[in-house]
Amino acid sequence: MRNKLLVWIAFLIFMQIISFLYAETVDILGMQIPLIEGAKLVKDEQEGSLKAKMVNYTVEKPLNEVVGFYQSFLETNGFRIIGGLEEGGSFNASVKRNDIQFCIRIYAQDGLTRIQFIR
Amino acid sequence: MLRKIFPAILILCLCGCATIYNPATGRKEFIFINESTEIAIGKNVATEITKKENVLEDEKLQERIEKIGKKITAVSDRSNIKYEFHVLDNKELNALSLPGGIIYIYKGMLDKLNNDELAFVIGHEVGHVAAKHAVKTIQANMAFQLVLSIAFAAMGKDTSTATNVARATNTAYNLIALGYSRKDEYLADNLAVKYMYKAHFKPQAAISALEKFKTEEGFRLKILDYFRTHPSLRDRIKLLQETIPQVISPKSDS
Repeated sequence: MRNKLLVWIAFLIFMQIISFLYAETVDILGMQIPLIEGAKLVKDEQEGSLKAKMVNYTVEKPLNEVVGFYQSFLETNGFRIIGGLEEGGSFNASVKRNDIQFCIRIYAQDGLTRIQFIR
Repeated sequence: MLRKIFPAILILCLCGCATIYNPATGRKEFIFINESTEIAIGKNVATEITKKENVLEDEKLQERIEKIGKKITAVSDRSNIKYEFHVLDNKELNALSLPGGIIYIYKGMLDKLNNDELAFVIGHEVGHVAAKHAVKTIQANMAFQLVLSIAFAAMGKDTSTATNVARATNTAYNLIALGYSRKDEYLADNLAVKYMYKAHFKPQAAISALEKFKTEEGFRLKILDYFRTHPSLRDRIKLLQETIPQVISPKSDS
């Protein structure tokens, strides 16, 4: 009985870790921003400087597909956008909707597509 | 001990996070905001300038700085953005550059300097823009959310946060007006000389411009004083005397 309980607890912890790494959304100032399927957390949320926090994900999908996903999300949800598509197909934008504002950068690196949220 | 080295560790960790090479500084840098956002910030901070100073609408003066400015910016390390040049109705020897390429030259400069010397001043401010000194200063010293607020306020009315944005914009302006580090100022001087040479102005005029500033030094101690926020003129002249021969030597013609 005790062993079964331990196995069950271990399984639950394992599932928590997996769901954390493969979360479906990321919380930006109280808004749940969707993560494209397969996106994996790269680093824990960290401060890029004393004044900004950054969180990074990677995904094994083409750059243009990931960019298209987020462009569509931002436009559909009425975000104001400064910036956007850059040379080479990467995406770099400051976005705002009401009190939710952050920067999103999508670019290719080491054969993967990286998604970076800065707030 | 760990707290002291942690920022350095973070900076090292960030080196792979889409840092971009800046030809003006010769380094890979991580600027959180894109160019369009930087330009929007500059436009909004410019509103603070117009509250504090009068922009002079003088065709001749405007033509003079634009003609020199166009030549300098065309050869700068950041020629892709649209620079704006304005004359401020103030007899002080001062100049100011904002994120995104808005540059103010005080009338005092135009009265006292010849075109080559003015090219140095303009080249110095363009150097600050190319090296992104203003945006890096703002980014390092202000809450990121406030920085974004300033940019979005330039896009349109956002009355719910108007007071906060106005305060944030004022803070950003003060950060820029207080000046940059000595290292940044020396870099801007070097870039100015480089741009002057490429644009066929006389790089030696950088020295004569600073000599003219020296005669004015000490008379004013206001917060926007060009001299107080900059390293000592003697040091700048000394460094330029070493830099100018390197810029105009045959090896630099590539």
